[in-house]
Amino acid sequence: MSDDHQEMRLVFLEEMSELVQDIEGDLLQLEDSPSSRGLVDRLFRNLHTIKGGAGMTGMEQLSHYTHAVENTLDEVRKGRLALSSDLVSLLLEALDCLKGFMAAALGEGILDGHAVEGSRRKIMAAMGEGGTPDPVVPTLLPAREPVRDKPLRSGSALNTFIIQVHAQPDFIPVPSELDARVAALTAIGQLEIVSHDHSLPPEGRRDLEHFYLWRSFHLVTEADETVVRAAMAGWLEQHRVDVVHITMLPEAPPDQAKIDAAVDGSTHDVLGEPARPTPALVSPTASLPDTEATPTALPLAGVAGADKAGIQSIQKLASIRVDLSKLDKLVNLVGELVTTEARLDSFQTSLQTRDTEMAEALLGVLDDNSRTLRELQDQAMTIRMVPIGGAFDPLQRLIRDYCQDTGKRVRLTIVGRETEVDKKIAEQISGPFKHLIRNALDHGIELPDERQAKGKSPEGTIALFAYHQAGLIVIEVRDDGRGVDIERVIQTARQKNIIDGSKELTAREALELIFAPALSTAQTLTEVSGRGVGMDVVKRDIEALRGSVDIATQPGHGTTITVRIPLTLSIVDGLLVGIGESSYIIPLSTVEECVELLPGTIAENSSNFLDIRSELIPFLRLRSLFGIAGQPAPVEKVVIVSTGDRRIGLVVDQLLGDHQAVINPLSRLHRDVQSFSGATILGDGSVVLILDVLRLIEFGRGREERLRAS
Amino acid sequence: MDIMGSDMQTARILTVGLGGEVFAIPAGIVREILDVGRVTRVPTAPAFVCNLINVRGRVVPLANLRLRFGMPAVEPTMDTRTVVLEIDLEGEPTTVAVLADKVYEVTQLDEVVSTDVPRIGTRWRPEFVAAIGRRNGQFVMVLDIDEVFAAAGEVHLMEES
Repeated sequence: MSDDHQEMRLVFLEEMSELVQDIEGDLLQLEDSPSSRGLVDRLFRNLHTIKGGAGMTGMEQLSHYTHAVENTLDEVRKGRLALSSDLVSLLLEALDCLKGFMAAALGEGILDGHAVEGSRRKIMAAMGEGGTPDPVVPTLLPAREPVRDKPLRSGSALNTFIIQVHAQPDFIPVPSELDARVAALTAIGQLEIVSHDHSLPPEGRRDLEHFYLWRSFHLVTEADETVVRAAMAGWLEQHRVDVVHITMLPEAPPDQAKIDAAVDGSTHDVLGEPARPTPALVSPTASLPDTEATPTALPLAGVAGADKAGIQSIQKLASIRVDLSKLDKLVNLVGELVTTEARLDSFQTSLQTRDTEMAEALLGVLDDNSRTLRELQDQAMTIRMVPIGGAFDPLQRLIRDYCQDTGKRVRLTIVGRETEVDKKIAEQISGPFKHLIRNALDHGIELPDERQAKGKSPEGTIALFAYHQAGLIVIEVRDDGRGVDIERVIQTARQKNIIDGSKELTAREALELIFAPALSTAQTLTEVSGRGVGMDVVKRDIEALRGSVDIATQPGHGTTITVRIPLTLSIVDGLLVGIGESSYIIPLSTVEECVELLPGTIAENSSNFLDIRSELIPFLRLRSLFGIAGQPAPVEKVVIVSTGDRRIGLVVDQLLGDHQAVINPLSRLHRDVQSFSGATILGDGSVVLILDVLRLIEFGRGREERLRAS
Repeated sequence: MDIMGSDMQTARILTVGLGGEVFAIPAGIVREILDVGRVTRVPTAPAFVCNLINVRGRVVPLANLRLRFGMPAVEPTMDTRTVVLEIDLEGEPTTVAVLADKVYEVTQLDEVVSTDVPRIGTRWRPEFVAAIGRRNGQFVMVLDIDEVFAAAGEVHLMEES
């Protein structure tokens, strides 16, 4: 494939990805307002652009497929086909196919040829039902004959062939000859015929040296190329016939495809579309492929690889795509600068006593430097920031499909789409939020009848609110469903032995049980949730991002789940603690309170539990856990940390204050080290480890369980 | 480090002293040589790589090759240096630092004695040594640094058992 061609394709794929997004949004809107002429028109235009682009860039199969979808929409546009909910479903399915095409072209997946063909056939069928038959065009044959089916056995490998017949200008077609070919091809597969009569230059302007594309046959068959060629046997000598085997990747030889695109596009003048110039056709040398080089299937791996490499270089044209690791490196370097700056400051301080004048001058420079550095730091952080809205996009579709299946009616509103968050976080919260929405759909929102009986609107609402608060991004998921039945949660938890049968729980504790592994209060298992792997997974995923999840509920009125996540993964607000000569950082977001370890606070009969306001909290002596030599401080301090409902006390010598730490991940040499999530550098240049509170709590829990067992 | 035969002969190396022996590190992977600074111990890490240091604002693991080669650890002296290296750790470029009792010079081998290190007759695991050469009449062990760090976890297990 030529470089030019590949470039074009990459630019097209980028454009297509935007178009596909628009299409998805429009389709979902269309369902609400099926009579919107504007939406249908826009859908049609977008599909048309995709089809054209696909053809121009040699994505033959995509062009062919989109054509079918576009035709259907055209019927809708012309009022010959009603836009039913079923049709929207088909179109959404088509959208998935389009995404599949894109992924395959980007080397990110393999196209499911069966799904595409299935979808295409369904769409064609839908058109057949509601629409009018294909318009009769004033040529020798209808421009597009209805699909002729030879039943295909499912499960066998299907080949798609595009057979193009290039006739000489003086060729006078004999209908019976064409019928014989059509019969031969129909015998071996599913056939679609595209007429290109209109593409012939007017009589008198035809170049006798050249062949003109006259008919294309699109054939889906189990047969291989030899059989297909045999079916065309009578014509192989008389005309130039190209048999192109379309592989699962939408690969076709570029020049070949260009013709097809142009030709395909121009079939519209036959179908009543405005005529478009088709320059490729009047410069035959450029448009006609080499006769010898009959294209066959292209090797998959090589092509995919080449495309991928190309994408990386090409996409820079539209917007600069930067490898995240490069940004990470940039942020790390800025972090290093901040650390060096702190050291410079301490030099400046010590210079004060020796050379006041010099020290003053240096202070000025350092101040300027510091300002620039802050700005640089902010900028470096913002590069990684993306609007959170993108992470919510799949939710709309999820809700729509769910409602389709269950008969519930739900409206999703999103406030604060533009709220920015670190890209990595945006990528990683998509999964947890799918879970949260599924939960709200399944357990929260009632069926329309039930809602009406309660005096609510039959349509439920799930609202997402995203906003910044104190260095965190807060995302609330509010539904106006039935709320959490706390009694049932407790009952289930008892049945499943998640809690002790006799233990009295506060309302908050009971609600927290939602996050316990293996708890599901759904009466019946459904496809989307209720397998008991919802909320505990959500909580774990959010905590992996150093975030937290809270739940509030009002029976009968709905549930609000609040997720708080730090804006960035590379900086942590920490509490600096000292044990002997060593210092450690505890992420501040996990710290609940700090108390002194007095004899009275240690629970009786146990040396491993604190008794804080009559609550037993396990504690770990970091000094012994980390094997630090020397005597503990006369009065040790306990930092009580928690993630959700789990709490543990960490015993240290002293509390040294707050510290904003740039997180350096530990190298692979230390990947087996469990208690730390990273390290940072203090102003004095020393390296300090950051505690992994989640791991420490697990560690404490293990200890707790062993103790209870004994 | 795949330098063999004549390449080994001409390759530039940094010679360092460890426990009275002379070792060589390919000079191409040496980033800088620093005095010994403050170290931060990583609790529960393998003894051979149980420290972290700050190298120009970056957190870098510090390895004690003495422990790796089965020599006793010693207190740093006036001559002790930290050699910062850029190595490949399971395909990931990683900055690590190693302690050397003494750093001699960046030089070349006078002669390559063997690139096939005998399994017996050496105190350390032969896989750590890429070649044995001679410099100023003294034997020099050219280290295969990637290999030295490759099995870091293994040492940890051995120590525990």
